[in-house]
Amino acid sequence: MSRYIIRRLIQAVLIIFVITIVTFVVGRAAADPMAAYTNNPRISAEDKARIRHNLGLDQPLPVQYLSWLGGVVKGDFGNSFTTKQKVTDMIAERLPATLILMICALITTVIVSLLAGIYAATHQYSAGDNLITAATFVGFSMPVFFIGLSLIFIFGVGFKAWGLPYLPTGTAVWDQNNPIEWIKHLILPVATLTLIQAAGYTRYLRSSLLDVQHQDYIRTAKSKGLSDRVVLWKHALKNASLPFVTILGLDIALLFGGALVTETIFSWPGIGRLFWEQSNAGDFPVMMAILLIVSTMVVLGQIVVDVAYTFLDPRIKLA
Amino acid sequence: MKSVHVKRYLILASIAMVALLIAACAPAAAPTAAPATQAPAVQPTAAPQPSSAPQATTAPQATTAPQATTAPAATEAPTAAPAAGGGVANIAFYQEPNSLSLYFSNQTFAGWAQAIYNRGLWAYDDKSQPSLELAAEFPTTENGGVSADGLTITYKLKPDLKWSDGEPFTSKDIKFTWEAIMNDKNTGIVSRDGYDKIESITTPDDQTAVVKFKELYVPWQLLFNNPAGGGFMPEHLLGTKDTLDGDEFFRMPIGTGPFKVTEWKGGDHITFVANENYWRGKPKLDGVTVKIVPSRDAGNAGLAAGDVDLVADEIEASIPDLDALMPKAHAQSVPSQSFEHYFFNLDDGKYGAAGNPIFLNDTVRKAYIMCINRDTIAERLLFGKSKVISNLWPNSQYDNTDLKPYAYDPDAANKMLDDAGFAKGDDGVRTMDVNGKKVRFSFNHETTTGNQLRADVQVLATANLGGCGYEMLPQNYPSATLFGTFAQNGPLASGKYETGGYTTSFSPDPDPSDNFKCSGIPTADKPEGSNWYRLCDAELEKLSIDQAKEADPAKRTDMIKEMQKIMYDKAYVAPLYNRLNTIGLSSRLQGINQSPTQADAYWNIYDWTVSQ
Repeated sequence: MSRYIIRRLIQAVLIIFVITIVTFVVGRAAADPMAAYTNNPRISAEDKARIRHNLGLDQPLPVQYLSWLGGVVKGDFGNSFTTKQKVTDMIAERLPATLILMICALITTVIVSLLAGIYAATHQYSAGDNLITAATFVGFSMPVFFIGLSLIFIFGVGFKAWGLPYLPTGTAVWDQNNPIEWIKHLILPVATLTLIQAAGYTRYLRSSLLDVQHQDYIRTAKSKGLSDRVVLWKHALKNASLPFVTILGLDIALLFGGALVTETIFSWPGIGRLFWEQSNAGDFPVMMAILLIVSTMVVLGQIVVDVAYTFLDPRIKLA
Repeated sequence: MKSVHVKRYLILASIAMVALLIAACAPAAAPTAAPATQAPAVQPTAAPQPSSAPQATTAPQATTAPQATTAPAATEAPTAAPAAGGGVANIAFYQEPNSLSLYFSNQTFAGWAQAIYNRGLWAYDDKSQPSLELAAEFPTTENGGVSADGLTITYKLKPDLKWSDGEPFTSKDIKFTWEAIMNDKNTGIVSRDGYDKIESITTPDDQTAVVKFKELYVPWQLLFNNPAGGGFMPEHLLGTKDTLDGDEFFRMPIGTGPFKVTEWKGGDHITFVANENYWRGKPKLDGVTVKIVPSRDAGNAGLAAGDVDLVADEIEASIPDLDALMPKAHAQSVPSQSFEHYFFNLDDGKYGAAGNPIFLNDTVRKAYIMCINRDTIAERLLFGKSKVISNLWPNSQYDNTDLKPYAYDPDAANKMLDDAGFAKGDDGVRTMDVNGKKVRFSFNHETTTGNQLRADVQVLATANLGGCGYEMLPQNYPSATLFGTFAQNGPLASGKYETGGYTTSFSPDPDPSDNFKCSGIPTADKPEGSNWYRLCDAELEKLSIDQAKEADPAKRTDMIKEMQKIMYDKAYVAPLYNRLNTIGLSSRLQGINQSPTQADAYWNIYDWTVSQ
């Protein structure tokens, strides 16, 4: 097992290395930080040349890449091209907001999808199952911005107009004296993310539960006289949870990337919005740092998931 | 195990794909073509049009321009009365300032945020006149502020000025600011334009700074300034630092303005509270909160909900929607000095990126202008709040008002084109013989996506031009792509376009930079040039160079006007209308008097009030 993990970690380093090269080359081709200065009469040709030099953009691409990589290896992600702040400071400032939003969303997603998935699988083709299936297809097929805007329209704008208690739609400022207000701000963005994510989770759980329900060991367990509940929770669910754990592992890793669209719609000051804003400005160091963090977390998360398989299904042996 | 492997690789492949996709989709930053993306400094201009004067296409105003270096009517705004009411104004910015110091930023929003907490020598008021801030007087030749040779400018400061931390503000801070701008260790400094022409700054006493230039620098009054008020950097806090790059100071800077910064939460808000050390005394408001919103629409929703009092940088097309919020909120617009224009790629191939050869013909360009119904644009699409313009220096003292915009006259234009032998084909599109080949009057027109007014104008122009035998094919890009650099194959910068359109301005200072110089045409060897028209006209080039060396403001103005006449006669560009500075404003917030310059609303923020 430990040999397996070490081998996977070495592979992970290689994979992340390749990802950085690809993102660097493609990102640099798509976004030129100097574009912001092209059409400003206040900035002379000398200024442009000086800025280009100071940002290191006059160096050949491989040199730029290596100097960036050299910094990263030493834990220095450099300074933002636009704000001149340390990239790590900018990310650290946004990280708490993102983590709170994403963790809350993940918890509600898991709860909702466990309940809905199990209900749907144990009541196959019932009205409740059909309803859940319909709802998951809606969640699957709707773009996140549409769900977000619809929720704002109904619970923010509509409820206010109808004189009902309404939910805030914008960003929240933490106030020790008024945590309730802050929680209220979380509801709509968390609901948006949950509706989208829970759709997938529910479908996976339902279909894998249905799969295992017809297997021999379930029949054996039932014939031993075990209660339905024990069969479900102890035998069926454990084996049915592999796909569930796979996407969960990926989503936990993606926590650090935030939710680009949801954060933007709800003015949530998180990493996703930071990424969007800074990539619009061609702010390479910030984009690269966020991409690197997210891809590292995803690769590591996948290793953790693979290891977790061995506990969930003893037939899987990692070597 | 096998399936796990497959799954793993599938997942990794997906990650790589997503990473690629994200990276590929990320556009570069560019000046959006809205009037508010750049932050040039301002020169006072005379006779701004009243906002309710849409008839100006026929009746040019006589300019009674005070000449910049001789006698600008610097106004000292009335000292704020003792704070009445207090309260906090909430301003929505849809772009987060990337710095609170314009020396380190290229963003208009940064300039506006700076105007809230920091002030320079003067701001520019709603008449585009200098409104004195830290300066005791505006330097002129009469008061000895400008030397006879124009090479020495003397700034006189008000007595007892203080930074918001209570420390005295002196002329040494001016000298320090210049040194910081020129210090190579401060790699984040954006523009040194003009500062690099300064030979020395001496400070004979705390209230006097004498600036000596190496060579004549005509737009000197732009230095240490931005339209909304400029500002300096405090020597007592920054003087000992090796470099200012990424310094924490700029997250929570002190200033000399009406408010002081107390909190900046990235992506969320910036909080300002009244500065009791401001030279006018405490402003009327207790504070200002800048809310960072993801879009103008989000700002407008806040305006409708009563959470926001002012939405910065609205577009003209939003005016009806904003006015529909009456009496709660409305749009406030003033004609600005920036202009929307259409233009042609005039490269005949000599500079490596030839445009459509039909536009090398004077008649074709002139008829093009005459075929676009610009009156309809001003009256219908701009609600009569703007006017058709004849040149690129509208609404300023440099506006050559002798030039009347070409009238909308498709019949005359068609006749001109028929007479020149460019007959319409069966498809209604004209053709021209170029080196024995028939070239159709068919061309792409490239502008930005995402601006409703611009899209409407393009539709109208396409239809109008179609009636004259031109086939205009809209081909639009996000502004980041349209304004991409030469190296990025940005269509305008690299000359890979036929006709285009966007907004810019040669105001505040009228210097058009190298926009009309042959040497300013971007090529592979000189990709930084800003002559995107790829226009090379010897006379224009000479005037362009000479005006920047002319110390006499009257003569300089004449040269700028002469440039306009050449461009007008030859129809080198098609000026459309001057843009409006527009904000969304709640009825709760009072005292806003927008400036036609980039100062926009913030120059008199000390005078704003909110009703409780």
